[in-house]
Amino acid sequence: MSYILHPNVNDGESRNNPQLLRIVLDTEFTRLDFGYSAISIYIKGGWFNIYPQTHLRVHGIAEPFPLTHADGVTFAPDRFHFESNKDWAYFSLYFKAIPIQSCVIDVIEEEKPTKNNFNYYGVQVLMEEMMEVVG
Amino acid sequence: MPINKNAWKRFTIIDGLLRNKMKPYPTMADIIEACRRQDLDPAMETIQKDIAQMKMSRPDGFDSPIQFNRRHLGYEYTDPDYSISGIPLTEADKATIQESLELIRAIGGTAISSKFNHAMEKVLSVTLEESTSEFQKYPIIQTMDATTSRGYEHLDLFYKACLHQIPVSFVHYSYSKRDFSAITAHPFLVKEFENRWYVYAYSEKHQSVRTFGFDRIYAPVLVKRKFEQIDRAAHAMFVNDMYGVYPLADGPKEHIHIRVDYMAANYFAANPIHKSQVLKKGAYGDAEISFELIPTFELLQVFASYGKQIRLKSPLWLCNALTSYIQRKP
Repeated sequence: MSYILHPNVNDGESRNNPQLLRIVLDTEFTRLDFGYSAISIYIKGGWFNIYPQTHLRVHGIAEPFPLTHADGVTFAPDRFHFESNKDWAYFSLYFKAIPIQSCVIDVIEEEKPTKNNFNYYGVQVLMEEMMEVVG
Repeated sequence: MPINKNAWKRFTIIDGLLRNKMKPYPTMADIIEACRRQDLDPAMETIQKDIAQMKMSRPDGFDSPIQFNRRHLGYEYTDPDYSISGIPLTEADKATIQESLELIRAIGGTAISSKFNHAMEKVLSVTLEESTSEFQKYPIIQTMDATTSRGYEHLDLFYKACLHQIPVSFVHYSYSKRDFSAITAHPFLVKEFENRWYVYAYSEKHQSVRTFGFDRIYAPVLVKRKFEQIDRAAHAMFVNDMYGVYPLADGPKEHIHIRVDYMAANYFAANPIHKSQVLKKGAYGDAEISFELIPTFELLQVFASYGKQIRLKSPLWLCNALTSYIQRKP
C-alpha cells in the first residue's frame, strides 16, 4: 500500500529549485519527486546532479534513510547538462522506506551545504494529507 | 485464464456442432472429425479438456451447459438457446464487425483501439475464422501516421480515471510559467486535438476546471479520494463551443467574423472548422465567414496559418491578439 503527499515546502533555507513536488510513502521505499527548471543565468541552462550520499533524516530517528536509486537524474561526479536555459527536468529519488506515519523530514544532499546543494528542511509529512494510491 | 487461438477455434467448432439442430448429439468422433476439417488434429483428451473448460464458470470458461446424453450417446446443450458467443451473429453482422475492425486499425493506433481490437477479435474468434484479410497487409485507408507524442502513455490511466471517476495525482509543468506543480485532479474528459492529448479535470489547486496537456504531465497515479463532481452538461457545452483546447480568456462564446480570399474560402467551405461556421461567398470567390466560438489559442493559430489570405474583422480584442501572435519573435 502506498500513500502520496503534495508537501508544502516553505522553509527559508530549503531549495525552491529543484522544487520538491511529491512524497510517496511505501512499505518498500520512500520516493521524492522533484521538478527542476534550468536557470537562465547560464547560456545553456547549466547542469545538475545528485550526490549519492543524499539521505533523509526523520526528526526523532537517529539513523538516516539512505538514497537507494534515482530516476531522471545523474549521480555526481557525472553531470546532466541542459541543452538550453528554458529546459526542465523531472526526477525522482528513492530512499530506504521511512515509517508510514506523520513525521517531519529533512532531505540532505550535503551536511555542510553550499547554495548549490539540494537540501530541504522541516518537510511536514502529515498522514491526514496523504492520499492512498489505487492499485 | 488465457485461451489460445487453437483452443478458441475448437470451442467454436464444438459450439457449432452442439447448436446444429440438423445433426444433434455429436459424438467425440464427430467433434474430432469436424476439427480435422478445420486443419486441427486434436486428441480425444484435448477435446475432453475443452469441454471441461467450456463448462467452467466465467471468466475461466463459458458456463456452457454441456452434458453427455446417454440415450443418444452424444453431447448436447441442456439449454437449447445457449451459445458461447452469447448473441448469435448473422453473416452480415460478422462482415460488418470485420469491416469496422479494419477501419479502426486504419484510424486507430491508440491503446484503446488496440484494446478494442483485442476484445472484438475475442468476440469474433467464437464466430469467425481468423481474419486473413489482405487489408491488414496493404491497408486501403491510410490516415496521417503521427509520431507518438510525449505523455501519450497516460491515455489509458486518464481514460480509466474518467470512466470510474477516480481522482489522479500528477506533476504538471507549465510551458508558459516555466513552473512545476503537484496537482490533484478530478478528470472527466480526455480530448484529442490534432494528435495532441488533453485531459479536462477539476483541479484542487486551482479550485476550477482546467485543461492539462498530456505532454506536460509526469507520473500520474490514481488516488483514493472523494471525486469532485462538476456540471458535465455545462462543460460539454463549453468544450463544444471551442475550436481547440485552450481558451484565450474566461468568457462566453463570441461572434467572430473573418474575411477570406477565394483560396482560403475554398478550404473553409470544404472543411468547416466548427459547426457554427457560416460562410457567405462573394462575387469573386472570396467570403465572409462567421463563427460563434470561445476564442482559443488554436483558433489564432489557424487564422495565422492563412497569412494574408485572411483578415480578422471582429472582435477587436481578438484582432489585437492575432497581431501580437503573428509579430511574436521566435
